[in-house]
Amino acid sequence: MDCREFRETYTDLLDGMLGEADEVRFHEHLAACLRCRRFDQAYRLGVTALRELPCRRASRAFTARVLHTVRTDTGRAIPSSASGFAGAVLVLALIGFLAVDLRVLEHRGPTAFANFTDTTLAVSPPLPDSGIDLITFRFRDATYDPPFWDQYAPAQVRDANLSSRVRFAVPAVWTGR
Amino acid sequence: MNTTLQSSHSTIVPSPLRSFEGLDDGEVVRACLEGDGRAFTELVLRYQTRLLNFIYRSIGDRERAEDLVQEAFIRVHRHLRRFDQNRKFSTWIYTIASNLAKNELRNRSRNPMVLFQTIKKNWDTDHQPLQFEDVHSRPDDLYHQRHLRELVELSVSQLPEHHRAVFILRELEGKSYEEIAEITGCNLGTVKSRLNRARNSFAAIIEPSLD
Repeated sequence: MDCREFRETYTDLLDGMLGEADEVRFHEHLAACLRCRRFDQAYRLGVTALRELPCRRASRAFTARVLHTVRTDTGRAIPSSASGFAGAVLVLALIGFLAVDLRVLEHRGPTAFANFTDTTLAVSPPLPDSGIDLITFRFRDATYDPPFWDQYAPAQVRDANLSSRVRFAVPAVWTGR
Repeated sequence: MNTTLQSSHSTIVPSPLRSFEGLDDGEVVRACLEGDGRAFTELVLRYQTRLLNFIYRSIGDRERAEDLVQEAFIRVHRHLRRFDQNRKFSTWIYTIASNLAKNELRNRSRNPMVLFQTIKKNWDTDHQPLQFEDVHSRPDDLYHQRHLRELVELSVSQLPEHHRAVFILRELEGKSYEEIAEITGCNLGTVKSRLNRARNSFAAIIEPSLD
């Protein structure tokens, strides 16, 4: 027997499936080969340690939980890989949607800002007792589309004299009035 | 008064069910199918710890193992009438548990976040201070024992999933080749070759620590 054959038939030896003659050959090889002896020693030591690993006992609370769940089970669907997969698809779709939305906003921001560089600024009279001023920007071809989350989103006004005006509501302290 | 208290207590936390002592699983299953509610409790008491450790060794996450054992019992309860009583109950329940563990590992490979949480949990455990279990042993022996235990756990976790299942069923659960074949849905030849490969890999990881 050589080392390769030893490794290939190792399981048969451990599980008592070798014939008598093969078992004798096996033990002869084991006695003669230091490498295979170490291999055998490592395996037996490892398995002994594995079997001695602390075994976690189920607690009484766990038992009570299992029995309660089983008794109150109404036949609902147990979470499966299919539902997990559907959930993952949903999450990916949401992430995709947000990414697209953010890209739109990212793109939209600088465009609106560029328009603002070509403006004149006028501070409107404050809204009575509100602590809010209205700042009007005048510029050409306003295309600013306010995001829903911007509490100071501009109100766009068009008139005959100006190409476009956009009015922002801002805290009065910003304008120093 | 005392009787009432004991009775209500046993409803919440089951005590050992003496009437089922000495009965084999098949007889307990029959009692369960005949409507004896305590019989199912007996099945839970017989298998919960074994399944908990089997699934934990397979997936490496204690909390998730508890959830999966619970799911296994729910499935057993739902489908007990379909169980072929000519077969061994233990093989059937291990098949259910094995499939749940397999699904868990498959889902985990699809979801890196779950994998990260497991790694983090294991990291937390690994970095707990060294605890001396036996005050009579020499510290270097204790260190060596602890190192070997960690190495053994690592070796099992490093085995490929289908090798690991076969290895655990054979070495820790003491299942026969035929039972392992039924639980894992493989033929005997596959079981034998996977077991041999798992044993070779396991020994190869342990061997350097002999020095």
